Amino acid sequence: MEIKKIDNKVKLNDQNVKAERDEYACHHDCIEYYYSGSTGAKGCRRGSTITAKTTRAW
Amino acid sequence: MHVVFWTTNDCNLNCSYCYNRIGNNIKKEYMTKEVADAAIDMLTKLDCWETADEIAVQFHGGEPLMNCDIIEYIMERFEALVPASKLYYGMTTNGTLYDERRKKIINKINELSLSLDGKAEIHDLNRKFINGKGSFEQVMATAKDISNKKDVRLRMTVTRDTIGDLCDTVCYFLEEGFRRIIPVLDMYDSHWKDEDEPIIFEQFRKIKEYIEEKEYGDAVISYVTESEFVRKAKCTGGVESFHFLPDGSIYPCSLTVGDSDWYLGNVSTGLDKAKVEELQMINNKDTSSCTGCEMYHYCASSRCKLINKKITGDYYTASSIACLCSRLEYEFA
Ligand code: SF4
Ligand code: SF4
Repeated sequence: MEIKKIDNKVKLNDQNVKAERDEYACHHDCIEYYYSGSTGAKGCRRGSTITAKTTRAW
Repeated sequence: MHVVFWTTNDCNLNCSYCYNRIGNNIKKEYMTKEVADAAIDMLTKLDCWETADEIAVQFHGGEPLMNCDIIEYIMERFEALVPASKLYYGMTTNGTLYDERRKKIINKINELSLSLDGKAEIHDLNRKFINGKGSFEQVMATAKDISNKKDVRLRMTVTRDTIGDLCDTVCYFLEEGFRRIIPVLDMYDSHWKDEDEPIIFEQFRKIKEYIEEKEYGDAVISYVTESEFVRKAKCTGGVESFHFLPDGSIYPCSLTVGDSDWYLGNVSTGLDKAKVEELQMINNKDTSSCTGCEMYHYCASSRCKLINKKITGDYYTASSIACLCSRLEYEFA
């Protein structure tokens, strides 16, 4: 299997992308069971809600 | 701050793919109060102990619930040190130990993850008790009982052998009443092939169609559930994130546990600062294989160079399966 770069920004638009200062700290999603703490209890402290994408493998 | 206590590397199951299985002769160590105290002592001396706006404490193993004494002790210690509003608990369990004492512990866990591989015929292939009996029935009973009281997350590892059944399995769990189902493509399965890519995409598309058809708007499923792209922040391993093993060894994250290259010291002797700096230095460089990709800042391959290295052998070359996960995310955005 090869990596394939994404070469358009169609979906990376204002509605889909969270403001850059709201980046996820590593332990929010780098290892999937890192997804704990307040993220589990009441959504990410940076204001994001629980989503499947933040519970990925890392 | 995020800390993980590996309460024991002992387990009551004997899963066929586990590093820990009987026959591999891994020492079945249990964390002692002395080790837990030394770990907590180390944490309280760090700058980020004061500044952290949350302290997330996770219990892991082996099967963490085989060492209830230490879980209760660690909880007691943290509760005396940290205000309740800042303290959160997480646990990953195999779901087969579920008596009154363990229920009390589980009750306090904010984020509970149960490992399930699929329906009985898939799960029981590997996840067996020492006597050879499958564990599915018991895990499902636990999961259902817990889900009556609190949110439970079903975590499934998907391999090349099980990808064809993915949609079927997820729909089954949905019909059983679960709403948080997290299939994770096994990154360490080296058998993934180019021809699997359309199958993977098709399985996730079918799941999405099913959810829409049934109007399960509250379902949270990896990739399929719409969410925003969030930029990846820097690696915090060894800085704000620590794994403590039963013998007191310290590692930055579960990815590195047991890897002597990323051993950060022991609770009794303290953190190896030079190692932490080395990890930060490696992770602060760019993943050169991905230059120009629009997903770069939202993709795991850009943050974690260690996972790149584990899969491709090079810190700065992304793995194809991680890439596929990012493209799945892009597809369903
Ligand atoms: S090395 Fe990778 S998995 Fe480990 S803490 Fe850093 S970014 Fe996360
Ligand atoms: S791994 Fe793939 S999606 Fe991620 S940055 Fe590299 S090319 Fe882009």
